[in-house]
Parts: sequence; structure tokens; C-alpha cells
Amino acid sequence: MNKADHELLKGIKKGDVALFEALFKELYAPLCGYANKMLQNKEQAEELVQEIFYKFWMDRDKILIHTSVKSYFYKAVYNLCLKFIEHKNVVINYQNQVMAQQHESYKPEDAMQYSEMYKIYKDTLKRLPNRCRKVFQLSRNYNLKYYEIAEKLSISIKTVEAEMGKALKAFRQNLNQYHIID
Amino acid sequence: MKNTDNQAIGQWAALWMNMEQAELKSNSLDNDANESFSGYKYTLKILDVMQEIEQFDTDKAWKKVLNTINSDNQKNTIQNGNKFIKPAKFWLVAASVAFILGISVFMLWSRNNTMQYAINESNTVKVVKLPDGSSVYLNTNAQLSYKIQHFNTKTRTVMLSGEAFFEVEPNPQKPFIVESGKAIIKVLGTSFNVKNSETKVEIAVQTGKVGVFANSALNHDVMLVAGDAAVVMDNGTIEKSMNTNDNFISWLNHKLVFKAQPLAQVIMDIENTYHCKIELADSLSSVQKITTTFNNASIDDVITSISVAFNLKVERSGNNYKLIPIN
Repeated sequence: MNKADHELLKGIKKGDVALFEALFKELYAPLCGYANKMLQNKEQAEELVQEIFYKFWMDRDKILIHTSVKSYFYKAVYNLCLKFIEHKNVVINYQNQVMAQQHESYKPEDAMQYSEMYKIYKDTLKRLPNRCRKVFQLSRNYNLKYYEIAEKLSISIKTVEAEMGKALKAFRQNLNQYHIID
Repeated sequence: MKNTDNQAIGQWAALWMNMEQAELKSNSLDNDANESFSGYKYTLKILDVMQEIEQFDTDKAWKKVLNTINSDNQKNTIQNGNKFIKPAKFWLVAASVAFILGISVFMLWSRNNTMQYAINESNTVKVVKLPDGSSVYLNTNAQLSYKIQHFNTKTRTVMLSGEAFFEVEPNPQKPFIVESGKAIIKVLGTSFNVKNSETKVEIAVQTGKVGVFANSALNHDVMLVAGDAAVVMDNGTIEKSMNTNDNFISWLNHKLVFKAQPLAQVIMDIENTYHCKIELADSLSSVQKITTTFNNASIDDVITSISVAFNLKVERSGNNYKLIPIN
């Protein structure tokens, strides 16, 4: 465990809620993304991750971490998801068993970089020029067509294309080095 | 040079995203394009994962977890008491101390922590004075809620449904925040109007500066100054514009200004101002225009002026007016 993790854990064990909050805010969404990949159910994924954080806080005195805080959480998500799927399998059986085997390949070690990538993604998004970010979000988050975006922002389609290209370039430069699970 | 480059990427991305939606595979794109954009294909795949993650609402989840922890803590505090007092006696002492403390704290807390509601069910404007000296003018059917406690923290937060005009006491250390539908409006000291209807929230600024945020995963925000307006739609998008509506606070000051306004718009503004219903006879063209000003006139004066200007007859029953042409 590195020094930063050591300090973090020490603080949390003393009951520092602010440190716990910071940890939660850093890891929550990426962990949900990971759990959702395994469970294919957003609500269950969220409940599961919340449960892990809750238990972590309640049992903070007893928790021992050897590797890193981050890997602890990713492993916890992995184990709990498997357990969850197994339980579901007893209920629904065969079809899901096949799915469960497939899920075993979503190793926590691979998913761990989600947190880092997500931070970089958010950061890159924030640094995009205003109009560029707007075009990107309207296209990607709202699924608008270029001509719709052009109309909405009163700019030409050419400009929309260029802004979109600019955004993708920035994301490519910052994110392509990472490996994602299929 | 760089621009055309970006444009090419943008064009390719549109093509690619469309194909993905239609679940076509890349072989229908020609090879050259596939080659030069393969890096971006991976970027889009990563973005899919990131945007899936983006949908999870961290702040909401944190509040939920914190609540669970807090309610558990309250249950536990008494059990973790001083080990040196014998259990039976400890319970007695703890119970009586807790009782007395509890009652006094509760009385203070409940006043500060219970939600205060102000609802205007009348047809006249209702003024609410907030603990910090700010005033809120509620239009008919508007509801304002807040906790006194919230005025002692870092920000001053109130919630609004319906329409209201805010006059906020300046305090740079404590931003004043209005939460209304999907909109979060943040100001330091200014006056502005907020109108929250079913699918959107409209904000118009009278004086000072106002920040408008959408309560959604996106980081949209706009800054408004006097004369600006913004609309926050239910899907979280924000549109900023000039405030071209001269009568946006006519419901408050009964001041109506019409500059070559079509009759239909005029009728709508009068209805909103005086909380009445005005019906136009079918034969009446609603596109005729009028230019006039009313300053704190009564509804009867306004209706009379309009009917004279357009040569109309008025039929009235209670709060309902019907305008019919005189032939």
C-alpha cells in the first residue's frame, strides 16, 4: 500500500467523513460502470456499490488492505457481482450460468483503470472550449444529428463537424493509451 | 489546414456513429477511411464506456449512503458510552440527560430544520420575507419552501414551484440558490423572476448577475445579466436569450407595455397579470396589433381601453370576459 492510501485509510479509520466522501466521489461512478457491465442492470449495480461503501465505513476499524484502496473496491465489486449472479443462477439457472462464465473475464485488475480514465475524460471535457463541448455533448449525450446541432446553436454544419473533430482529437490523445474490456 | 482536418474527423464520426446505431459493420466503409480513422474508432468505444459511467449520479448516491450512515450512528452513540459507569446506572443517567437535552435541542432544531412552506392560493401577490432579509413575491399558486437552518450554512437555499420574483439581499460570502424544476439558479445579490411550468423553467433578470445551472449530469451553465433571460428545459438543456418580454413582472407591478403586440399576445399578458379569463369571439382576428401602456390600471380600465381601441363589446361574468366585435 502506498503512502497516500495509508494516510487515507488512517483518516477514515479515525472517522474522517470528508476523506470518505472524496473517496466515494472518485470511485462511485466508475465502480457502478464496472458492476453494470457484469450485472447488466443499472439499479442493481448502484445498490451493490452503495452497499460496499456502506459496509466499508461501518467496518472501517477492522478492514485490512494489502494492495491498494482502489483495488480493494474493484475486487469487492467483482466478488459481490459474482455472488449476486450465482444467486440469480440458482433461481434462473442455465442461461445465466453461461453468462456468469463470460463475466468471469471482467477481471477487477482490468476494470481498475476505469477510475483514472473517467477522471481524465471529465477533465478533458471540462477543458474543451465552450462551443466544442456543447457540440460534443449534444451529439453524444443527446444523440442529436449534426444538422440539428447546427440549427440549435445557429452555426454551420461544417463548424459542427470541425468542433466534433476537435473534441474527438482531444479525447483520442488523452484516452487511447488505455485498455478497455470488451 | 487544421480545420479541414477536424472537419474530416467529424464527418467520419457522424458516419460511424450512424452505422453503429444501425448495427452495420465497418466493412461498408471504404478501406482508406477505415485505416486512417481506426484510432478514432477506439476513442468512440472508450467514450461509450465513459458515458455509461457518466449516467450514474454520484451526488445523489452519496446523500443516500450518508443518510444511512447517519441514522445508524444515532442508534449507536448511546451504546458506545462511558465504560466506567455501571450499565444500570449508566442507562438511568444517559436516559435522563438524553431526555432533557433531546427536548431542548429538538425544539430549537425542529424550528430550524423543518421545512417552511409559503403557498399563495390567492389572486393577489404574497410577499415572503426570508431570514436573511431577502424578499420573495409569490404569484398565484406559487410555492416556496426552505429551512431556516439553510440560512446559517454556506449558502442560502430555497425551492420554488410556480412563479416568483426575488429581491436578494447582497451577501458575497453566502450565495443565494433557487432550486426550481431542473434549474439551479445561483446569485449573490440581485433581483430576478423565475417561472416554473410543467416542462420548463424560465428565468429573467431585472438587476445584477445570475448564474443558471441545469440539474443534470451535464455541466451546462450560463451567466445572465440584467435584460437577459434563459429557459431550462426538462431534459437539462439551457437556452439563453435577450429578454424581449417587457411584461415579465407585470403580475407583480401591474405595469403593461405593448409595442405593436398582436391582440392574442396582449390578451395572454392581461390574463397572466390579472388572473382572469378573456375569450375572443371567433370572428375576431387575433393578429391585429396594438401599442399602449398601462400603469397600475384596474382590470376594468384595461379591458375598456382594449375594447375601445378595437371597437369591441365586453360581456363579463365574474372573472371571465368575452370580447365581441360591434358591427
